[in-house]
This record gives sequence, C-alpha cells and structure tokens, in this order.
Amino acid sequence: MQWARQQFQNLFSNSIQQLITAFPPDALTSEKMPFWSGTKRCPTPILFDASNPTHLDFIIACANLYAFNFGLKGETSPEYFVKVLENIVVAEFVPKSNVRIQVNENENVQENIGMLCFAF
Amino acid sequence: MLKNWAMIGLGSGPTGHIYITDMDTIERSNLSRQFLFRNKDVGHFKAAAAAGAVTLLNPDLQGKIKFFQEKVGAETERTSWALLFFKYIFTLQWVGEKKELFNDAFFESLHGVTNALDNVDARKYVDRRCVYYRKPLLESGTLGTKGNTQVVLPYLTESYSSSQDPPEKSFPSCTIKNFPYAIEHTIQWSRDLFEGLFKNQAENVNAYLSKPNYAQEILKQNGAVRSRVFFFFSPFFSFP
Repeated sequence: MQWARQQFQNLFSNSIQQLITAFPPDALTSEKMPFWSGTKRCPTPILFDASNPTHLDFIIACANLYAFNFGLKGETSPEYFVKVLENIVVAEFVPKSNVRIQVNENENVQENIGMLCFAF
Repeated sequence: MLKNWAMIGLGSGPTGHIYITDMDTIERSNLSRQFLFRNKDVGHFKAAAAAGAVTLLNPDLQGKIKFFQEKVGAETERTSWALLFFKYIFTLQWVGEKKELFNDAFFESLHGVTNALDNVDARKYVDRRCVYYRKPLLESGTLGTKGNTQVVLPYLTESYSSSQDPPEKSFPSCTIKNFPYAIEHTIQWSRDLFEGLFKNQAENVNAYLSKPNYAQEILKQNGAVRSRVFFFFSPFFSFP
C-alpha cells in the first residue's frame, strides 16, 4: 500500500510538477509563442484524496496487483485502505534541476521524466 | 459479431443454419472484450461456448448452430467453412439445410461468410475461398481501441485482398509520456505502465533467478535495455 501510494504520487503529482517546473503554464517557446498550445495541454498535478473513489480505486488496484506479483494475499476493503493511508507519509516533492524533457519526436534527449514513472 | 447476428435472427428460420469454428479455448484474459464468455466458460472451446451463449440470447437459434474446433486454412480445406470472431478464428456462416460439411458442396451451400480472425494470412485465405465460391464475406477485426469491418460482395465490391492496410501509426513516446492530447494516448500510457510495473519487472527478476548467466547477458546488451532491467531490479538490489 505504501508502494501504491508512492506510485500515485510519482505518476500524478511529482512527474506533473516536474513537467510544469520545466514548462510553467505561461512558458514561451524560443519563437515567443505559448509553450502550452496546440496539442500540448498544460497538466495539473493531483493532490491525493482518500475520499475520492478514483484515487482510492487506483491505490487498491495497484497494491493488489503488486501483492499478487509477490504471492501476497490481497486486501480489498476500502475502509482498511483508508485507515492505512492515513498513516502513510509521502515525501515532499522537490523538483530536480538536471532533468531534460523531450519535446519533439526527433529530439534525442535522455528521457528522465519518463523514468519517474518507474521510480521506487 | 455472432451476438449481432443472433439478435437480428440470422439463420434462425425453419431451414436456417449457422456454422462457427474456432480452434481456441477461452482464457481469462478474453473475458474483458469477448462478451459472450463468462467466468464459468474459461477453459472451454470458444465456438461451443459462443453457440450456447447466443442461443440464450435468441432461443430461435436452438439446434441451428453447429460448432467446430477447426483451424481455417489449407490443411482443413475439406472442412473449410469460414469462421470467425474477434482476434480468434471463428467463422460464421449461414446456410440452408446441410448435412455434408466436408467438400465444395459445403461452401456452395452457404449464403455468406463472416470473418473474425486474428491474422492477415487466415483472412486472405478465407477471402480466396469466398471469391472462388462467389460468396459474400463480412470481414471484421479489432486493434486496441479501434474496430474495422469490410463488406465484400461478389461482382459488386473489391475483395478483401485487393487492398492493404496502411502501416500502423504509433504515437511518439514524448506524446505518450508528457504531452498526451487524446484518450488513446492516456490508454497507451496506462498499458505501458501496467506492463512495466506488474509484468516486466517480475519476469526480469524470475529470469535472473532461473538463468545463471542472465546478468552477464544483460550487460552485453545495449544501454537502454540495461538501464530498464536494472531499474526494475532496484527494489531488491542496488546498482550504481
């Protein structure tokens, strides 16, 4: 559950915050055009909320899938999850300064942001 | 496909018949997209389970569906009626009164053929047969979130093999990761994530445990694979 909660944080909050740190909503391109325009849609980080069913479902599914990987018995009671989640502390997000983000298909940049998805 | 036929009453008349074939059995992973199948059907032959399910939908089909577990292809030509359904081979035909299934007379007796095959070669094969016997063919298929059908009518339309699909377009990885703008992109992202977190990771660990040389083999591979595998290992080991 701890792992699932951290996944949620990495995927929907940290990586998004990293992205908007690199490209704030009002960022301009080198041609002085708004960066977030056309098909690029400026993302909003999600603050975890255990009373939001979508958030809770993610944690329940994620924790159970991971438990299955290791042959652990699952647990699907939402009440139990809510209780445990109250005591899980998630590290504060600190933007990384050395991350470069691939903007165009042809640009060959190390894709650190993508790796955030898999960070443990 | 078959359920749609059942609901419009195809083959349910006094002399109606439907033949379906599919060599596969039902796996749990099929249940999410193959709606005729339920938990209790897992492990059973698809054609039989599908026939049972649509007969419940339309009781007029009782006794009018014959099902087989034959692959469609040259090797079963003596029995080759078409088939079809979703990724798997099912073929579905609607014929008049028929006793003999194993020769040209069988194909001659059909009024139409429906494909729900999972590969192009089998589709082309059925297409050739339908052209040869001048039978209408309804071709169908799915790919991810996309669906496709094509109606082939003798003397009226081109046949299935007359045209080729354009090469698949894939989404650039930066679109998927950082700049999605369509729900398909986010689905792809989720799917990739699932694979990475719950499948690849476990497979890599198991490969490491079962193959003595696994780590050395990985070291010889290119950097991308290497970093990915080591990454998956990271909950258990630490690599520089």
